[in-house]
Amino acid sequence: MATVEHDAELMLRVRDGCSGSFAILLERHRGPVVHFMFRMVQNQAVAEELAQEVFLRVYRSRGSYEPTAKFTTWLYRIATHLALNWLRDGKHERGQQSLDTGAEEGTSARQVADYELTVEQRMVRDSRFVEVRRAIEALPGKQRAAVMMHKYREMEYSHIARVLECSESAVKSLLFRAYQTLRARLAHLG
Amino acid sequence: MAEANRIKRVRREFVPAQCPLTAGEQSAEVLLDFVSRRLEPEAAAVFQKHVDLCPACQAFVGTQSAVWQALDAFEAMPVSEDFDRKLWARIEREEREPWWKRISGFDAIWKPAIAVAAMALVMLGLWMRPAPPPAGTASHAEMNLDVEQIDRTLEDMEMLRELGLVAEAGSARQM
Repeated sequence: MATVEHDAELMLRVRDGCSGSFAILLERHRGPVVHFMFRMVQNQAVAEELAQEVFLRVYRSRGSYEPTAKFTTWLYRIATHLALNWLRDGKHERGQQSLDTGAEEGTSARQVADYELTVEQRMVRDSRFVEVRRAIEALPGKQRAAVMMHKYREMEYSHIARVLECSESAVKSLLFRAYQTLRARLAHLG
Repeated sequence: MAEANRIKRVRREFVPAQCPLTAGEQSAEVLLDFVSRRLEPEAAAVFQKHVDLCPACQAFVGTQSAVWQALDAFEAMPVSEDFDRKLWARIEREEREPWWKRISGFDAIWKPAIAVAAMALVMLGLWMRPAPPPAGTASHAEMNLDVEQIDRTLEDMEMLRELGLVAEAGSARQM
């Protein structure tokens, strides 16, 4: 709770012209926002571009900022809006060719830590990685966003509901359907 | 208080005769929370007793746990080192722009508006243009031109007639 207040306090200082406070907010939320975007759009370059747009919009709106809601609710609402727009506009189709490249990027990032794995183990792990990405990619945008916030950000249903601007029961329904799809596609990996 | 209510609800809902899977999507919240270890310990213990007796929930928990572990494989990439530098460059570039360009969506709003205004001006111009004279009527300038031409032609004819008379008189004298 203190962290939430701190975010709001920092944002109020940003509103008063303190760019150092914005740098702290950026430091705190940069990773989670980029990771959220990466899992949503499944392309690292696009994820970073969209995450920059998120922070740019936060900075641009600093003058009218009022701490009426959690800072992270506002932040993820902007992020989700941008990601869903990107998916809706079909831009992912143009970037689709990079899915396999992206998978390679994702695996190569872990190779340093996984040097102790055998070639076979690495292949199994990489194939799981690609399968999970494809299963997530098959989810409708809003279900995908709900799962990303539930699984990776560990957000409460009420928080996800405020981000997605829907009811808590709608979020539970989204998650139930999303996990149902994922269970059908990924249960064999267990 | 909320936690106590939740535990009471779990106790009420998860008796073996009332499986949460038959109670609809909303009840699956507890199943998801159980798998993701978000249930309070007491509620989790109550639900575990139900799972031990319910094959449907055992199957659900088994497959959901598999999905939960599989999703762990979807690791995110580290953020580029120049992320902040690029962002600050974008902020600085935006701050240097005039205020009206900084308004989000300025181009999207004003470009069509300018096109519509230009079209309206053209339409207004066409509407206010004086109507052309009806076919078959000559303008003042054309009328003046015609009168002058007729005058000049008549003068030329008069001059030629006089020249003709002089020539006739000359030839008569030679004879």
